Amino acid sequence: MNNLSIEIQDNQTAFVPGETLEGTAQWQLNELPKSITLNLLWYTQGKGTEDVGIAESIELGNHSSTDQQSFSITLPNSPYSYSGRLLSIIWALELIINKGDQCHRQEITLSPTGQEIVTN
Amino acid sequence: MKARDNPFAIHRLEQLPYHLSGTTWPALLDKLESLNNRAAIIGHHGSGKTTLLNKLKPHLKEKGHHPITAFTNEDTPLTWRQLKDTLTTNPNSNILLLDGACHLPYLTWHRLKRYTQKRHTGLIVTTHNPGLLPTAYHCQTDIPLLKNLLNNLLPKSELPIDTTLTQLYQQNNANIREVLSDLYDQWAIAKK
Amino acid sequence: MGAGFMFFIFLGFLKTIDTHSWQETPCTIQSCLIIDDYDDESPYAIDVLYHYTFSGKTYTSSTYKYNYNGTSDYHEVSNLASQYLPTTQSTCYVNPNKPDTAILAHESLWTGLTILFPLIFVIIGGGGIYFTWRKTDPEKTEVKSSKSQAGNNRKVTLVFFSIFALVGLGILIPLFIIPVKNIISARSWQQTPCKIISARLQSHSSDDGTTYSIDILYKYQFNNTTHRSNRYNFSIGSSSGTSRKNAIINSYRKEKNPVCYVNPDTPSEAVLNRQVTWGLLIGLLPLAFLAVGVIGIFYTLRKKQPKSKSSQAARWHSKSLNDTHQSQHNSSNTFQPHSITLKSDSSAIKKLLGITFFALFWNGIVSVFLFEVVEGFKNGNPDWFLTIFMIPFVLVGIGMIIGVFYYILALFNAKPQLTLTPGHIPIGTAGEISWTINGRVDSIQNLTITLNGREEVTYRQGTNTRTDKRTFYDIELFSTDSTSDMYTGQIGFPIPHDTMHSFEADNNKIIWSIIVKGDIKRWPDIDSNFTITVLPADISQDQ
Repeated sequence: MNNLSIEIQDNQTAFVPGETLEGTAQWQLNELPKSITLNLLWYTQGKGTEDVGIAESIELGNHSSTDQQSFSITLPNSPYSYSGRLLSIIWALELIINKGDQCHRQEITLSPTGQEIVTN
Repeated sequence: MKARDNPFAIHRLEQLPYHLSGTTWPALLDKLESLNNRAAIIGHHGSGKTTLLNKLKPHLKEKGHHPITAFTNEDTPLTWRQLKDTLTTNPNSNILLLDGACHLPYLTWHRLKRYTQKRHTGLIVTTHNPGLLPTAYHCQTDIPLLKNLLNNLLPKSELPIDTTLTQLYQQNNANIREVLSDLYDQWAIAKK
Repeated sequence: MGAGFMFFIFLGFLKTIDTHSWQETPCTIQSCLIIDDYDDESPYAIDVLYHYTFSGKTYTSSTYKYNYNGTSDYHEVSNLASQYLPTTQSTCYVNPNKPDTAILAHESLWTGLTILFPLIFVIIGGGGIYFTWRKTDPEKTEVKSSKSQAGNNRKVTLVFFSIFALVGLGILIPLFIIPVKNIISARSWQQTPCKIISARLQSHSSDDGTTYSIDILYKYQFNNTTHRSNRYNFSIGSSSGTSRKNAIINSYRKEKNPVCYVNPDTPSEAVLNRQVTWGLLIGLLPLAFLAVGVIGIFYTLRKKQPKSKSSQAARWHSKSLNDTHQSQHNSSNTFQPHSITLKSDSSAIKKLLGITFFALFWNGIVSVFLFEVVEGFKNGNPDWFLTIFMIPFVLVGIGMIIGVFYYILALFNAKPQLTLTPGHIPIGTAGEISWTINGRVDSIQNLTITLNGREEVTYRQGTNTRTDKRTFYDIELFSTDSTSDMYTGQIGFPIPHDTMHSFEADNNKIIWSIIVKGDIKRWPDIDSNFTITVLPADISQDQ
């Protein structure tokens, strides 16, 4: 049984642009992984075809089957987390094993208020 | 209603299970195998051809194949050069899943057919009409299928009544994709 | 009706085919005369007499060809007469079942192709009946939308354009190419005195009415041989209108020393007028059909260049999003210009060029048929069916012409020029636009300037890619009826702190713009859209 998790310091999920996000990525795998990557990315959801943007990508060096590693990322200015009628923009941290065999995603919000910008 | 919460947002539609009519996944894969993985999925607009091609990919991988995908339509045309590059930059791939083969220019299609045949590469395409390759599956829509999809997307209490569904289905000429697009707009406005 | 015509054409064609099975038999020509008053429509014909022996019996026949109706080309009968000289031997074809029936020459089997014309109507009519009456299951309907019919079935498109090209070429060759070729080669023909035998206006009756051609019979001497011809010029066919033709005929009747031009290689060929005539230009009309056909075939077959910015052919959503093509996103700039001149999103010139092209294409084709309608009315013999049929096409053509003028007028509209300060506006701050309107500002009745924010999302809909838009912010910044306030001005506006900045990815966008609208009576309105960049809040100021 494989287990992946991302724990953010203080269980914080609301962030402002430029803030430092610190946390720990943990994994428990049946086999030795070839690669372990932590991505900070945004993606869209809604009526349009999904777009994705990877803001930062960290290769977690230790490739043992069970381990954890802490990380620190400075969040970018934009885009803000957003939800309108046709389009939502969502930020997330994603822990990926072997370039996609398994992954775990943790959503966060990024905006000046820490809350998702909503338009109706 | 936020776009991400709309039950008809694209990411939710993509997660719907695909309902094969008159066959099963093993039977479909066997049929493709018997056609040397050179076959067509046919159906009218919004009948689920692209969705079926998407769902087919992991099944083909499970069988040990290495499929790659390409998409073309009127607004995103593919040249022969691009198709060839897709195949040559993925030398391990043995099946090309081409969505929208009927939109390829005549000469490009025949070049692709010959090229993949020579290299014993499978070619599974979606098209509106039969004729490009032997038909492996014919996508068709009906109101029970639409109801089935909505059962997966909405709670029972929010399902539209039958007459509304039938009206929507007929207004959109049996195009389920357009029905779902209309429902997206209706939900976005109604659930403000 | 189509089927009826097909039946009669087929019956006649059967007879033609039958004559091709008749027995080839030697015969002797007794006499061969040229008749020059054979028929109103085809005044020239040969009157030939020949005898032959079949199964021990001798027969005489005067039939040249099955269904022979003469010709309007004297040169043709002249050639026949020289082919069938009295007392010479020739070959005839005898009906084995009725040996007293024989012909000298077969009718061409190409006449069988005339069956294709009523066949088109049979197919259209039969197809219409079939698709009207066939049963369809509303729940399992295999539907082809107009988009799929437009986008799919390249074979049908190719066949359609091929027919266009073939028809165009088929008519262009005899109407223009061959006459021009003859005019060029006739420059080396020898000028020779001739004598006018007869000069008349030849009429040709058809369903569309009566048309006329010049028929001048003349004789000339070349290399001690007397020849006759009735070729006036190298244009073929006939047309309505008689006054100009009668003038020419009268001039030749009065001409004391007429000359003709003789082909030295084939002295039986001659022409009175070897100049290019205006009538030849009509022969260029099929060029439009040929051009449409060739361009259509070219664009159907050609390799298309990609419009997509993506360098990869494959874009699929994956479980981890990791192997998906990464979208480009632009929403923040470190460089902030102090002010920028905004550019309008739409181009009046592009719209004008687009509608002009379609108007020319449409009206070019419609004008061919309209010409026939007008000629029919001029001759007092209007074709009512064609007239009524053409009404909707003419109305659309007129609409397009009006559209062209509309966009030409729009070019002369007053043009707003906008400057935005700062060039990019962070959320929660204010910006200022200053405007100048050049041109006929006094014609603007009301000017409004609006700040607009909208979502734009793109997704595939089978054949096409669709874009949906939704406005989430729309505030009027300025509105005036006073002309003096319209020429120039400036206005500040805030960007709310709780809104979304500009965002642009491959398929999803947040767009902010300044919209300038001006109502003009009896003239195209001003409607200009200027995209601006709204930045994320300036975090350095907050810290």
